[in-house]
Amino acid sequence: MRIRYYALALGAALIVGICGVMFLLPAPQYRIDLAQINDITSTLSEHFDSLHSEEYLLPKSSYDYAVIDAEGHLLRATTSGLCEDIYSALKHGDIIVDITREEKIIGKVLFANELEGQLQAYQLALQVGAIIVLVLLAAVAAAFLMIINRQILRPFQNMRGLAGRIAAGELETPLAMDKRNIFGAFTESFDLMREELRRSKENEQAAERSKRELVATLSHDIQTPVSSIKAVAELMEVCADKAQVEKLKTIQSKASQIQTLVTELFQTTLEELDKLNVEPIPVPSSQITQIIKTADYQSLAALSEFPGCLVRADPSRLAQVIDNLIANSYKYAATEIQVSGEFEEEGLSITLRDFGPGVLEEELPRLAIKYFRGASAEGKNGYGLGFFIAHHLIERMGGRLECQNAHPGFAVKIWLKLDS
Amino acid sequence: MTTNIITTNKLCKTFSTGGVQQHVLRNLDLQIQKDDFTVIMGASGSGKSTLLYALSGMDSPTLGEITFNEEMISKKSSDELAVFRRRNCGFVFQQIYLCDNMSLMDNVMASGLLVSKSRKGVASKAEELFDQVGLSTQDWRKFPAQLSGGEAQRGAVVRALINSPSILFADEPTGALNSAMGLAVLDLLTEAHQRGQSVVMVTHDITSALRGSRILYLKDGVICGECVLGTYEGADDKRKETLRAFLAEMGW
Repeated sequence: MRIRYYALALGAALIVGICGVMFLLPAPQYRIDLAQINDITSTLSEHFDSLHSEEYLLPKSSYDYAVIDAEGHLLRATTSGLCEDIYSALKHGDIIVDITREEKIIGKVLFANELEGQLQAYQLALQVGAIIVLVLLAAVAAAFLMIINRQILRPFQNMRGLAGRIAAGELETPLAMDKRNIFGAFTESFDLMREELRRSKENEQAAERSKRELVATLSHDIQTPVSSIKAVAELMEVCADKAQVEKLKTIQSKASQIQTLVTELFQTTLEELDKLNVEPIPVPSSQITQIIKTADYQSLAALSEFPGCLVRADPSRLAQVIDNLIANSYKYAATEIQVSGEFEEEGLSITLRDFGPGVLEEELPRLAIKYFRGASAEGKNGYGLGFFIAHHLIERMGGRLECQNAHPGFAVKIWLKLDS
Repeated sequence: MTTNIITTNKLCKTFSTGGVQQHVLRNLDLQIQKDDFTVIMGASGSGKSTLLYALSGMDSPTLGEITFNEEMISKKSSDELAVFRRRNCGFVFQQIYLCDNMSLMDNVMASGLLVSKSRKGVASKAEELFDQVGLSTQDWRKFPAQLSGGEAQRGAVVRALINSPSILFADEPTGALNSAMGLAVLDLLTEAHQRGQSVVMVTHDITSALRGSRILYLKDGVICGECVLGTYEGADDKRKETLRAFLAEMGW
């Protein structure tokens, strides 16, 4: 555990700092150097008479001192600013020594008390030392906090962020893991949890998809027998007596109800159609003929040349639409498909025409409706969605899809805007 | 007088480089009238030169049709196009492209003899044209290296006109010349136009554009504006103002 070392380092720094202050700044001790004082006094006593003249140099000493005569007048002083009479000297705590000659006091030496100055210096040094130690301690503490933040708080914050993201349903971003993270295993298990959640969510989505597909298939399978029930009930109504008619009507209405319910169920699975991505780009008309050729796997299409131009379309979606239309033609007509293109009001209109039975005139407007299946769809697979989706996609490209009976046959016209 | 010499129908030119398709000209519908001095302007990269090359048959379009005097040229092979070009089109480029090892006269004759069999006829036509562009007998005996840029470009104009093309294409003809020489070449083009020659010029120079009777502005491979100035009779303030206003509107 690295952090323990950091703590030890902090403690050591503290102790070293305090000890440093204590050792470096010993309290001043005031010791009177009696030998020196006596020495000076005796020298002064010898030369007392010559003190008057400035030529005489006062003996050197570590003390500052002033010399006064017996009457209290100042004779000499090593420096100015010293106490110059006995009273002030007493007050200041100076050392007062008599200068005697033949048992007679001829003057006094006033040695300045240096304790106060030393005390002040000591206080200053103490303050400076304390400040330095405090600053050092603060720096060490800040570094320590930073390390704690990096090593402990940040991983926790990361984990909190991860938890937030998971709560918001975002499971893709992995947890950023630092090598020096001291909760390695802990955070890793957190990330494992995310991974596991993601996987189960994916599974769930896959299950959802297959459920939708199942619903789509089932609803088709349900619709067929229900339609039969309805039809049979209607037939029976013709040769039934009054009481039975009532019951048969119930059967019919219930069958219709089932049909509505199934359709509604189916509807919800198609709500996601809008989420399809359609991105129109400039597409050369030659590419469209290529798309048609690719879709026409039974080689029934007879292409006449398209006028060259660029149209706005999404090639992959357009391929989807054309696949669908050609497959429809295979299914309902199985004849040759004439494909032609021409300019029409600032656009290219592509017509696919087969020679099959076409659709009933009254069904034409309803072809693009979701789940609509015409009379000719009887007995054929499908959900009545092809046209609906094709319509939707072409409109998303900014084009139009129209269909009409061509007598004989059925024609679908895709109109796409020119690129400009 | 409004017969179309060139008509394009949904002209598209696409360059593919490394799988990336670049649609330089997009569904261009354009008519160029006989006896018109058409100027094509536009920012660089807008497809001006590509359009000129497609119109003149130097390059075939990716999609769409080009009709030249009722003749569809967009479907021609490159050999057929070469024949078509030498009979119908004259070219003046920014670079002069005269053959260095032939005198100016020989350069012009070489062009002329591709179409006409009569050496005499071509020579007299050339002399007449040299006279028109202000090149003396000494000048047209010189080799291109001995000519100044302006003289060489004038020689190139003669070469372009030798076969009496039904249309003259100019791709920034003044681009490599100083302004006085540039003006001389522009004057030549203007005179040719005044004599009834159809001209199509690509330029990004306003002084050159002033000579046009019709200005087309190209943006992203689409013609986004057209301005009719009428036949050039001197660059008066009104003409300049009209062109400036048009270009400002186009976002020049």
